[in-house]
Amino acid sequence: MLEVDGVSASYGNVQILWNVSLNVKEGEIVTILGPNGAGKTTLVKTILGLLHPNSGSIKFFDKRIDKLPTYKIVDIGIVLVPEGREIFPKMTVYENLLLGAYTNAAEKNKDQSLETIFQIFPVLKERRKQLAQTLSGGEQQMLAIARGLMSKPKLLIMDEPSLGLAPMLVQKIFNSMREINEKGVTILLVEQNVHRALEIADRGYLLEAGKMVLSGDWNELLANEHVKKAYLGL
Amino acid sequence: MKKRTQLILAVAIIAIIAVSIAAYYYLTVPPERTIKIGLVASLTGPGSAEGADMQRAAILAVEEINAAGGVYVSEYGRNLTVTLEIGDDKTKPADGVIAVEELIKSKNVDVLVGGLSSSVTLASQVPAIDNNVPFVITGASTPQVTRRTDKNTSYMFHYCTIIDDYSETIVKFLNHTVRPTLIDEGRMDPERNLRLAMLVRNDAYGIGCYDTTVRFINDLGLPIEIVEYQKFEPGATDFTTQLTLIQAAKPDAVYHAGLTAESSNLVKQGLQNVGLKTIYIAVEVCQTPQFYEILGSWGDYQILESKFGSKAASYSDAVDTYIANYMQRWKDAQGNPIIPGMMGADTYDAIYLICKAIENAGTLDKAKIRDEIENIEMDQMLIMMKNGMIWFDQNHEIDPISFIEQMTWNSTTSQLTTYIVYPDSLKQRDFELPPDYENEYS
Amino acid sequence: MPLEISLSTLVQIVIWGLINGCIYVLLASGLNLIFGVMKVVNFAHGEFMILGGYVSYWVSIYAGLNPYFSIFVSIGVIGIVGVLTERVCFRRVLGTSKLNEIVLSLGLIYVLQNAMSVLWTDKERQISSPFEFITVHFEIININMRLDLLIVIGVTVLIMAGFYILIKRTKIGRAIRATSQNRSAAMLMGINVEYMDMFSFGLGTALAATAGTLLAILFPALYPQAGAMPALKAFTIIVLGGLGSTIGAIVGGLAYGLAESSAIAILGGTWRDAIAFAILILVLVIRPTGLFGEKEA
Repeated sequence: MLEVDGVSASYGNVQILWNVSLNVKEGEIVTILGPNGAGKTTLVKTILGLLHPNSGSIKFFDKRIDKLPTYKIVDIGIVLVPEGREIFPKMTVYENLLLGAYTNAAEKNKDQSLETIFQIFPVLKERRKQLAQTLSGGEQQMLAIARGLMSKPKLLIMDEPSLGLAPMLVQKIFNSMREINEKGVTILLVEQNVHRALEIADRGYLLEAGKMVLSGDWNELLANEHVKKAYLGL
Repeated sequence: MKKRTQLILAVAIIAIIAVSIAAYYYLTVPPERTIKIGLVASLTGPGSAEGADMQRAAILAVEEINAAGGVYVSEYGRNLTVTLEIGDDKTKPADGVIAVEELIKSKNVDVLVGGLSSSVTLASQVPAIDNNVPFVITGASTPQVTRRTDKNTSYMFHYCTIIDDYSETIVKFLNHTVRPTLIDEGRMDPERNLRLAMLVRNDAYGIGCYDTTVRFINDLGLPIEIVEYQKFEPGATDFTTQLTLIQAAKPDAVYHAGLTAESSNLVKQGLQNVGLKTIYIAVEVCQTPQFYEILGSWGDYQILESKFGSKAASYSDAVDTYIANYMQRWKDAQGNPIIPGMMGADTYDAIYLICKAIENAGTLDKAKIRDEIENIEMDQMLIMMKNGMIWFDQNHEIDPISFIEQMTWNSTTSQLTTYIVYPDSLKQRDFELPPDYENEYS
Repeated sequence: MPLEISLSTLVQIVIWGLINGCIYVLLASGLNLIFGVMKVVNFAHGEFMILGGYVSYWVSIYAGLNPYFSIFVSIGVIGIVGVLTERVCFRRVLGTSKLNEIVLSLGLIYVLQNAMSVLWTDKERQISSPFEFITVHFEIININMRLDLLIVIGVTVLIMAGFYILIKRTKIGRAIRATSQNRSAAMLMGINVEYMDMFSFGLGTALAATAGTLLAILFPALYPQAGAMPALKAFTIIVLGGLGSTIGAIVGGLAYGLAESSAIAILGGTWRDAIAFAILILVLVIRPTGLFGEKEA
């Protein structure tokens, strides 16, 4: 469903991505691995149209999306749960969730989506009248994911959802990801935690210094010497 | 070639050159030397109402003088026409300096006239002082313009009432007319002082009005006390808080010193917003069409100190003629005649007196013109003088007659008209308290 | 200065403060909205206010419409002018550099002032109200109040209530708040943030137009240069109330109006404008984030 083909992108004069390609098929969980500063966040920002590529193309269901503004990309079903949560601090949990269902298609199903989300994250139901900035770090991350789900995405991109969370919470979030996937949402997961990522992912890509250096099934990647040495500490 | 021929040729060449040079100079000397009068006026900013009046009056005076053949200048042996150059001081000191410098340096004016607002004129007169250009000031009311100690003001002349005159006339009117009226109507205990409140512009003019009022009350030993003194910033549009404080002091009358827009609006706000129903006394600076226009029916029974009554019933033939000519010459966008104001009348007189001085001097030499202005003696024109003559005293000031007008709203014509109520020598009607007048006895 | 002022005088001074405060609330709320969403200080805000006053002035004179109804015409016209200004001018420089944005909005001041000078001259004007001569008497505190003052307060309350509901209770209001709190996250929600810029700018200038009309009904404050000082005060108010805070702009505007009238009463009329800067400096020194602002704001 998503095809990134030979994309290069820069911030100002600094080129971050060099001829990066990847594809995601419907129903999959695909992960992008790589160290800090490899360009993973830049790649997802480019997919979402927050940054426009210098060259290459990005297609979603065979339609070019690399020149579309972000809101149109969201409208056709790609949603990003950004790194660092990026919630709306001075709005209530409920308002944050409503903003997740901003697009017309999502708004129609918002009651049903809310129900599903409160099942997955019961704590958000308890706190729905609280200001988002008063939630704990883990709760804010849950809110960010829940908000992403509110928009009924076809493709949910998650940028470092486990960053800075306690292991118990990480486990919970990864469990919920599997649940979401089973409900028919395709997931593109950006992670530094290779071990966990490969546990749930069908396939993975390895991005280093802005270049795609490796790709394959989870078991291929786990078996790869470079991955073993650099990321799994084996 | 023979020596003789050579000599003739040389002489001929020299003669040709000499004639060409002479011709060149003769042709390039401007054939039409005119008398250039520079008008310094506030065409924009808070003083624009007064400035527009000065401009209209100056143009009218120049047109009349030129229509009568111009001014005979003996040095040229013929009549010269008068041209008017106008500089906008934008009612700001810095822009005033620029305007005057431009009039002197690029327009080469022979003499200056105008200058509204004390603070602006104190700044804009400096280039005139420095370049020895005679300047007849017709708007700024501070006596400082001809009495500076930091500059030599021998080229400065003051053809308008000074602040001292306003305050003197007003306190005398309060004592001579308002006080007995209040006592007669049982509004005031004869034993007590008359309670006066002052609301003034926070500048040389406004504060000067206050200082001179205090001085005249003390010097003349009048039973008047100032019960409240409030100020506002130049260009202010909201006076309600100051007026509320004045109301709390229960005055018998309010003396206010602002420019046209400020003064008319503060009267309106006092009556309309604050409900301070008293006698409001404005000074002659406000004698402009806008003053009456903004006030409308709120001006009924209110008071104006002046020396030129554009709205008053007839009191002088010269004034009647001037008003008729002015209203004939100037119409607004709707084609209605514009009513002249006082600063324009000052300026009109000043242009005539300048032309008279130039005629007496017989030259356009600035020092000679200055001397002749200093020694001018001519019959009064629009502004009435105490001895009927225009002349300047040792301070380069005139000695005009100020009077007090009371406004009356005519509801059929929707116009304000005025009557002179003080001094007795000019009085057209008796002063009357407004029917809804309130003071502490109400 | 009389310290022994009576109750009715005190009440009147408070009323003048609140009435001026109403104008400031409207002006500051619009400025705050634009700043919150676009992170641009619209220095020309005062000019939009005066332009709004002129539109009402025209409508009330030429169409003979009651000036309080002409506010709605003015809101519409200035709203559209605001939208066009954002679309044509601000969108092109937004995010290029702060300096460009400042130069643009300073440039707009002169363009608008000169345009207004050409259209309406420099003469001070006041919109005349049909209720000019009506006063209402309050027996308890023994004061007379001009009916227009009460209407101005009423109109401000209505407009601000509408604005508050729009911002807090509607979908577009949520999107505006989201854009102002976190622009890139708002984009990720599918919000067209450029549309929000345009809408907020139009809404902000429409609020300024309301302020301009009410001001011109109460005071002869309608001339092309009249917007500069109120805009500066509105800027002080949003710093006072905390940048981006809706309630802050309301409380700040009223508090500022009161501070101004008490300054005139206690310190004298010449302090009217100086007090703005005194307060601004004081707030910046004591609480740099404003009285209602958040630490991270």
